[in-house]
Amino acid sequence: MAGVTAGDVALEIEDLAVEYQSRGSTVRVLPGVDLAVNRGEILGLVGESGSGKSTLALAILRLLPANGRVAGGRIVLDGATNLASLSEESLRRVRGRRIAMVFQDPLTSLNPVFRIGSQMVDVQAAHCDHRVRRRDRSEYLARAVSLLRQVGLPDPEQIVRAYPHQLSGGMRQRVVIAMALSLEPGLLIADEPTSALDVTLEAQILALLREIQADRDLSILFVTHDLSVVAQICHRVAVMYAGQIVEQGEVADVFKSPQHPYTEALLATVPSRAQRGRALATVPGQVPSLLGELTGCRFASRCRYQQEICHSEAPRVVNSGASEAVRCHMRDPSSAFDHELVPSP
Amino acid sequence: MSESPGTPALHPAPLLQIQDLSVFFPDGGQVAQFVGPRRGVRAVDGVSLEVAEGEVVGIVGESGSGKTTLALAALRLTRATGGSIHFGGADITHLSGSGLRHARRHAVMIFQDPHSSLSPRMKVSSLLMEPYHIHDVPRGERYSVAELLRMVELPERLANRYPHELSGGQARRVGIARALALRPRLIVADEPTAGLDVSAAGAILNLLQSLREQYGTAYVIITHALNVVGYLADRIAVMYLGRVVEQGPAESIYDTPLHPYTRALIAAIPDMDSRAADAAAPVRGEIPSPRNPPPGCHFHPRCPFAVEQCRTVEPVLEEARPAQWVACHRWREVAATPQLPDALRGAETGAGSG
Repeated sequence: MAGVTAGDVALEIEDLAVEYQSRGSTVRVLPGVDLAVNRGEILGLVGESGSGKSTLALAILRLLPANGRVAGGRIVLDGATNLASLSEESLRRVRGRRIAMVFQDPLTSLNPVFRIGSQMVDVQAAHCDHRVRRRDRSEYLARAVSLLRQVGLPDPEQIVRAYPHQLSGGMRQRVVIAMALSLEPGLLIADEPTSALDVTLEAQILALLREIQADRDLSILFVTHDLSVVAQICHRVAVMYAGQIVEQGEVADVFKSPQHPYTEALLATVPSRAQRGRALATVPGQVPSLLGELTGCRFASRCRYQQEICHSEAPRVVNSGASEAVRCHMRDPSSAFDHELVPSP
Repeated sequence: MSESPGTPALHPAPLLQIQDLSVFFPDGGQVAQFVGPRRGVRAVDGVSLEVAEGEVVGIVGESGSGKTTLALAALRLTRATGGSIHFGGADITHLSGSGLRHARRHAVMIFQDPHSSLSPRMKVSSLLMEPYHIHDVPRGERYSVAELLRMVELPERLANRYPHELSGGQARRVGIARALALRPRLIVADEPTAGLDVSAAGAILNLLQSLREQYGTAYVIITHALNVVGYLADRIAVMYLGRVVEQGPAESIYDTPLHPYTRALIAAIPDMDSRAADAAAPVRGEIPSPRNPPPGCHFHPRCPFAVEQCRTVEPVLEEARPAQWVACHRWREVAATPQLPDALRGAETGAGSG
């Protein structure tokens, strides 16, 4: 990427490898991912179940389950701190304060037996550098009220007194977002934050995230399986397939002329109003198992453009069209891929 | 209500006819019922709906709208507290025992979470044969395990698997196959695609569509996402806090929605061509608690068209356009206002690549 200096990048992931131990064997779920979140942008990380998108999101803050580990690569925050090699102690200072996370189910982030207010105060107190005094706590509570108001919750004075179960799903997700903002992080990682919500609430939360991002010049890594959500709020998009990023670029460019066959197939599956009544497109076949040895392109067996080379040789990452990075033989001029054989659409 | 909205008298005996159905869940135990005023949740509040033979009807609404309770009550899986249910011309409202079991053979439900509706201790083959044992179906009238798997486009080798070894999409298909086993006249599917990836969800919808064409089964599809039923349904009923606020042919609901809530639902469909910032939030606020619904029109606190009348007088369904029924005092004003997303977006364009 020419013209991008270190200061423009909020998070740079280089050759990140993640492994899981499973029944005595090691599975490399991320073989070496490169990804950058620019400052002040919303980057959509999109893929189907099992593509590794959530693993990638969790690996950034080293929140992987006990059988997972970062096996290699660098995760560079603000051009300086490498999270991959940070001690657990130093990492705690990054979590919440410099990078906050919002998950799909807000109930997993909220303690059912404490009031919203006390949880929001605790988050601020836990990251305070000096001893917390009583006066500080009332200050934190006032800040909690103000944050709840900023995320569009009516009656924040009432909400700080409520328990999580007394709020609706949409309200809880707003609370979690307010909590994530309370330490003023520069980067927010949101993992399917609207997938459990009704459509009208989803639209409200997306509008809120976009507003917050613009107001605070926040960088957001937005993990989702929903391309139409990406279209609504993201600036750039990275498409993940079987542990690899297969295409990356500006949302408008990638969605207008996808360069990778998987992106193209995925875009065709989005039901649109114009398509009503016609059969919906699907991506035939299944995601390959990561357990065995994978040769060639990981999408090859499901690809409508597949050729012999796709099964024998792993494709390079190249620039193609308006996309910044595409992992496909068809787009690589130096590949042995035969363009004469490409089927017409 | 004297006349039920929905399909007019063209179909003399609809397959399923629900009239003025109510489901009330009272608070507290038996004693509480005799002390003080009756309190509780009116989950379904006087709903009338018809499903013709071979028709696909979509019931759309957000969490708490009562759509699932309506379906459960229609199949007598939860007790209705008022109204009547006719299936195949017979009154099944108060049926019990063998009569009810017989009716359930012809009207089956596919539940939302496939993993909680499939016994974890049974193999797929036994799960598929279970309905036959329950209903004592003679051997000659049964499909084989292989046939059922083929109908839902699953490989035969899955017959020996347990539910936890199936993917979400595969488990859905097993649920559908179990429903098809009895050759029912009506299948009620609750959120058939919730929790699936777009591609897997599309495949399930395609499957339902092709099964419908092959077997002529009628479907009721319950969902919170209008775009799911937009693809399949002939008619759509939109529910809000226990009431049907609009129903009509799918095209009319999509192209000329008359209830402000229907409009909000359509505007909320994430579209490849819009940005969240442009569309703003299509509707403010959240669905209120059904325990304490707002007076008058339930939707008035969230409605941009609300006037004084909406706060006090409950609107009834009226046939605003042929076969399109709406419960809104202000539908004429709504109809005269351009729809928000279209007004912002200009001409509609198709999504994605060709």
